[in-house]
Amino acid sequence: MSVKTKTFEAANSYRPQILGGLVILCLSIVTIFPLLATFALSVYADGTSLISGFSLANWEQVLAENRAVLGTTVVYAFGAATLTTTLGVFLAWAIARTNIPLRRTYYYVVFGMLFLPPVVWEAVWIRLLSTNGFYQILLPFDFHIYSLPGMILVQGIFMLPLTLIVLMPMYKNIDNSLEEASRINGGGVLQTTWSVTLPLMKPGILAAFLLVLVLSLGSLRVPLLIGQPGNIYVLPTVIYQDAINAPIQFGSAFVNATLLILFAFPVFYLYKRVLGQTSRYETVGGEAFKQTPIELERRYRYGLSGVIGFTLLAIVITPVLVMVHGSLSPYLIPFHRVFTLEAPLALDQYRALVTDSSLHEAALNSLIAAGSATILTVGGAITISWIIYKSDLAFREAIDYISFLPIALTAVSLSLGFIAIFLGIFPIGIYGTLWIIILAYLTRSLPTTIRVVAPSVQQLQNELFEAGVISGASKLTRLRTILVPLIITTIHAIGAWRFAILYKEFPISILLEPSDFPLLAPYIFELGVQANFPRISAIGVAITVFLAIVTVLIHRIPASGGKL
Amino acid sequence: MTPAHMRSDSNSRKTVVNRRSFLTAAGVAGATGLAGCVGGDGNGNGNGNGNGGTTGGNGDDDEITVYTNIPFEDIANAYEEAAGVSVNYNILGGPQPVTRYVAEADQEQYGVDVICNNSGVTWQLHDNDIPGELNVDEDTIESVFSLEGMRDAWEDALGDDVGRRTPPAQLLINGTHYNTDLVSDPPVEYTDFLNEQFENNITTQPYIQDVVLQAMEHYHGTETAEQWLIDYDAQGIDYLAGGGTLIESLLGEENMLAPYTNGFYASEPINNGAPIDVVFPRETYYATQTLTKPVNAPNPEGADDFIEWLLSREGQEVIQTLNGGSLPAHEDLDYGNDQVQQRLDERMEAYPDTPLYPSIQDPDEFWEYANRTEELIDVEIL
Repeated sequence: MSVKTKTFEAANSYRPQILGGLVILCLSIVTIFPLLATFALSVYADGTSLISGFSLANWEQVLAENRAVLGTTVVYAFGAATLTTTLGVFLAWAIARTNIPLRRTYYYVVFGMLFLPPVVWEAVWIRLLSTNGFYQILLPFDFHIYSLPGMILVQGIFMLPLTLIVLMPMYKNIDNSLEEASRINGGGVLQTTWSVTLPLMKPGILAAFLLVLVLSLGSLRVPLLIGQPGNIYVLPTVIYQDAINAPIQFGSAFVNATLLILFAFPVFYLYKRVLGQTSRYETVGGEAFKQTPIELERRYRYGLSGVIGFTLLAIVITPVLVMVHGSLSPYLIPFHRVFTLEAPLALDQYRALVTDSSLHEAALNSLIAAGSATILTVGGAITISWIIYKSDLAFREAIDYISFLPIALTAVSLSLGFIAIFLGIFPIGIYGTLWIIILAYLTRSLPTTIRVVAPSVQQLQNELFEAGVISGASKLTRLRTILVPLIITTIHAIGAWRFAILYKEFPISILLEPSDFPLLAPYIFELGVQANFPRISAIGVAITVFLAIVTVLIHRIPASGGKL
Repeated sequence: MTPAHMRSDSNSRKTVVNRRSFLTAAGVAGATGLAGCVGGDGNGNGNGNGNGGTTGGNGDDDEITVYTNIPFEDIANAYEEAAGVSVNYNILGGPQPVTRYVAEADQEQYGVDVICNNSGVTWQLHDNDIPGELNVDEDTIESVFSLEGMRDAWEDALGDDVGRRTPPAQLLINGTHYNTDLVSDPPVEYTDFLNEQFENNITTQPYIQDVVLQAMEHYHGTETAEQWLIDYDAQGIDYLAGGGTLIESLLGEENMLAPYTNGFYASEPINNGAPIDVVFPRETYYATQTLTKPVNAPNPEGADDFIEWLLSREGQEVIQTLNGGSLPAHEDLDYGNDQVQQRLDERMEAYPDTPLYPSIQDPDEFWEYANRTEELIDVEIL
């Protein structure tokens, strides 16, 4: 046996370790490196300089001055997560577990919220809850929108579709023979729900709560658009201001980013643990598994449907109508003048969209960035899920954790970490280009995409792939002809969802936007800053329709070849 | 926290579609296929312009890169038509044209030829010797210091060469906007803000108050200015951040008056028939939108040519049309919005002996007034 052959065999015997190590290295560059860079620069950055001398002065200053911000951040995130989870648990239960009329419509209404673009959503709620807003007039008490409760309300409602996406499959997978047993023993619907359904769902509910909590900790949109005008600051706004305002304070920005990560990390850890528990609960039914809805009596069925319909009218349909009305208005009109105003509604704003080349460029750029990142994210999620659950690579548990890590990084801290790495530490030429946007989008999207893709990959039977090997199909052919068709429904769903989110992604876009590659969300943000409510409403309507069409098209992509 | 009004207001974001940026994007997107690993090889910016930087700058003679915070599409298109030079520009919010440049320059990444930002932010560049001296015709520089006292004030604070290093392209006059459905008798002096009808009906950006104190001190002396600020705050001011937010508050009839608001935010609603008007009281101050060529601009000649053109009558006429009408710095040109120009004329006629106050916002003065304002009224400036 030649030396070359021996070397090859030795390397081959370590193939799982080598490949596993390479995967960890690749993932680490976009996950652990930004994390470590953020920690390190919190004691090395000073003012405009990313790397200065070691000093704890940044920490001392932030901890002395920003205590109120830390408290506000926690209250805001917990408040939003509590509101979203409460609403989500109720809606998901009613839609997935009962026989109420219009439940499919209700699901699509909530799901449609995913298409609503940033800034417009916040602007609409500001209109609804401002002093002369429609809801303010109806409320028996004063509600100041530029307040912490205002932030919690808007963020909480906005996160509802995500909660529903997490909870719905779990509700649907509950074996309702357990609920039937409770009913046979005399338990009513409420008692059964309270004593059987909710305990079964506890890990799922906790997972949804923790996911919204960690995402809200890092959210920038609501804090910037609703918190900041009212002088209410949370960690992401302070980080953003430190990073962009004059004079730049990178030191305190990295300290605050580190604090944000330290807040998010325990939540991330709990979330990861709870996810394990949810998969255990999903299999509770075994072979006698039954998935029939709870048969509510007619009056309760219609009553519950009415309550949900009213709720969605208040939190989704009315805001969308306000957006549509705004897009047809010549300027912002207070609610009490809507029906008496002499100025007619018109399509001027839509005509302006047709000729707005800046909008066209930003929309096209976002299409390129989000489209590329979506393809890479879905492909990456399938690959990583495959590695974790179906491959013989070493370090699979480590790969699992590292790929989930960006959830704890939060979007603002991740962006700052990318600035540190690609502008300061390893200036390899991607800062200020489309590459850094795609890479950041990808990093940010991988964890939640893996979460959706992994169960589909996990449940595939190995025999199918063994059959492919026996028939002589190459790895690529097996992937294309066996794996993709089997999980195509999941790919459609996650692809559409991911694209809709990335197309209007805000924090990464605004912090890392390249000079010559303007993106859509920052463009809308600047229009929002100008108080151009009619224009951003028209853009909001256009984006919502566009994303709905894209979603339909993505769902029509065939598994392999063929026509749409 | 950050120096406050130096954050200034963000303006509109418009960028020109140019072939290069699209090809860059398409090329990068096409080359992307690294599935989660770091992409790029150090040349991944795809600019192909030879500067080696990553900030979108260039070394080509037929291109310049601008960081700005005002609408720039019309300016870039007009310059491209006039000079055949492509303008790549990035419209960033508030002070970001300066801060982003500073952060990138700190890492020795130089990709910007011209910075167009508010004077309150730009002055900080003088402390660091960043503005390069322009190779621009002296008459052109002279023509853009149009309002009385402005040039003297700038030079006293920032040196004799301020005009040649950061000339103004646009004047930012902060007027008092009001809802015409709610207010029939708008204030013409600052003491009018203290009228009973305006109690709990005024909205103001909190971090502008230090400049207000500065202007009031100029007009009335320290004691009167400080007492006035305290009384004004006692009116129950609705402190909101962002000029656009204030105009929305007026349109939504949540407040009657929005003093110290840049007309930039109201021009378009006014043109569309909104019940908004503006008045320039006796005590009115203004700042500027300045142009700066960094000392390390990759295309310094291109920057000079562009700045000279933008300060010329041809360029200033484009400034005049921005966002429903704005005020160029050129001495012969009026506000681009007739209604606003009429209000400005009315103010000048009413107080011919009281010129507008050109606020100086260099960092030293800023800190002094910010601290004093925070002590006088419980408003967070910093």
